Amino acid sequence: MDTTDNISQQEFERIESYILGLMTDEEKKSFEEERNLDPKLRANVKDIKVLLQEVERVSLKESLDEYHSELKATPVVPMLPQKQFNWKPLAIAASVLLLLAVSFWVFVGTSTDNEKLFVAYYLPDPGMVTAMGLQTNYEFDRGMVDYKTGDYQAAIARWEKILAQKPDNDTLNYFLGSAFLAVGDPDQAKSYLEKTTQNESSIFYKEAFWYLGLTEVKAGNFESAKPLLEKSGKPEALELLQKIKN
Amino acid sequence: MQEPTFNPFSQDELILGIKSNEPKVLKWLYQSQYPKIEKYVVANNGDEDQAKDIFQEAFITVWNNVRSDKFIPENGTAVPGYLYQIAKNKWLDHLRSSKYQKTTNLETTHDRSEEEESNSESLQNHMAAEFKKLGENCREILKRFYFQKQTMETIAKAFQWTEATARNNKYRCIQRLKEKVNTLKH
Repeated sequence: MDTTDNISQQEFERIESYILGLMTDEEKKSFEEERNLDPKLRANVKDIKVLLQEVERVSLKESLDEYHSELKATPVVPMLPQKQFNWKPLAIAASVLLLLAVSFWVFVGTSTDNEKLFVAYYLPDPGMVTAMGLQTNYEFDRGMVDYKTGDYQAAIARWEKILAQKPDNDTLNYFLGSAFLAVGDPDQAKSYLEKTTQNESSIFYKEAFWYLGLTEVKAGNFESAKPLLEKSGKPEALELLQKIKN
Repeated sequence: MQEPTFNPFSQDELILGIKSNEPKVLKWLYQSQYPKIEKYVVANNGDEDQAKDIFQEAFITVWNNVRSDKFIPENGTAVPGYLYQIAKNKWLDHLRSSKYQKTTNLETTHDRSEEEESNSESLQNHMAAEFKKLGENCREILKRFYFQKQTMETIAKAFQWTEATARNNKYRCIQRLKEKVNTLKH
């Protein structure tokens, strides 16, 4: 065991890449052969493995403490029924509502009719339940976790990376479009949604038309919005069509 | 009994999130499940601090078991339910320990096999203490790389280092930790 001190950086990084599973199959195979013959290497692998696991565990523990103090500071999740009435959350809620009301007023007060219509009808797609397991879907699924927690920028960053390999994937295009719309970038959203509508068998076909229609409404292009909204087949679309006719 | 919880993540997303230390998933799991355990512990001769300790211990057990594929979920509430069960069992174990022998009418025994084989707790405590003694930069770089799974490129940028410097610093931080732990062993 004493011999495991002072390994070179190069040797450390080689062992680390083995432990973290970053080696190619070939590298891994030759590494394992070498390890089986060399007790010193074997001891080093074992020690470093424990060390890295512990670093991860201690880091996790620190995060847990953060989650805990956050939980105690702001009751975001449904808490236990409380015996005495607690005014603090109510006061917070009231101020948040007030803030929302003011910003809504400012926003609506300064926006045009088309934007008002857009705001009234637009709700981001809630996202989908992903069935993971396939290696190739990993990045997509990670992105969906971001998307569902409202971190649309993070989702976009992940999804754009995989778009190059799957430029025609309807699900990917649809959710990229949806994420761009959610962050207020209708122009980007449009190109991805249009891509989705090229695939008639897509389960997102109609939804994509609905959101495309909404981007046209937002831009004030009511004439271009009409055929798109009609194709969406959504009940709200009929209502919205009535409104833009006037 | 466990109350139903609104669960924004599918079982696969929870598992993947735990395996990749996705903060959103870890945080949701922690914050949605902790109140139930606090309620349980406080109702059973414990206080909030004990609830926190027991729950975090259980959380780390679940994290370990999910990552080593010892735990494979079966249905929608599997991961949160599993966490709740382990925390509850740990609390019952605590109550059964010598200090609490008097308390007898607590539920049935459980199968310990599903829990971690507690590997040398003292080593873990030493490691935690030594880790905390490392400099701020060392802790940060190790946490970012091994826990948050950030790339060396990202880390180098955050510290305004070159990537080579970042890698060298990571190596030196690990060496320092390794030396300290090794001296403890002897």
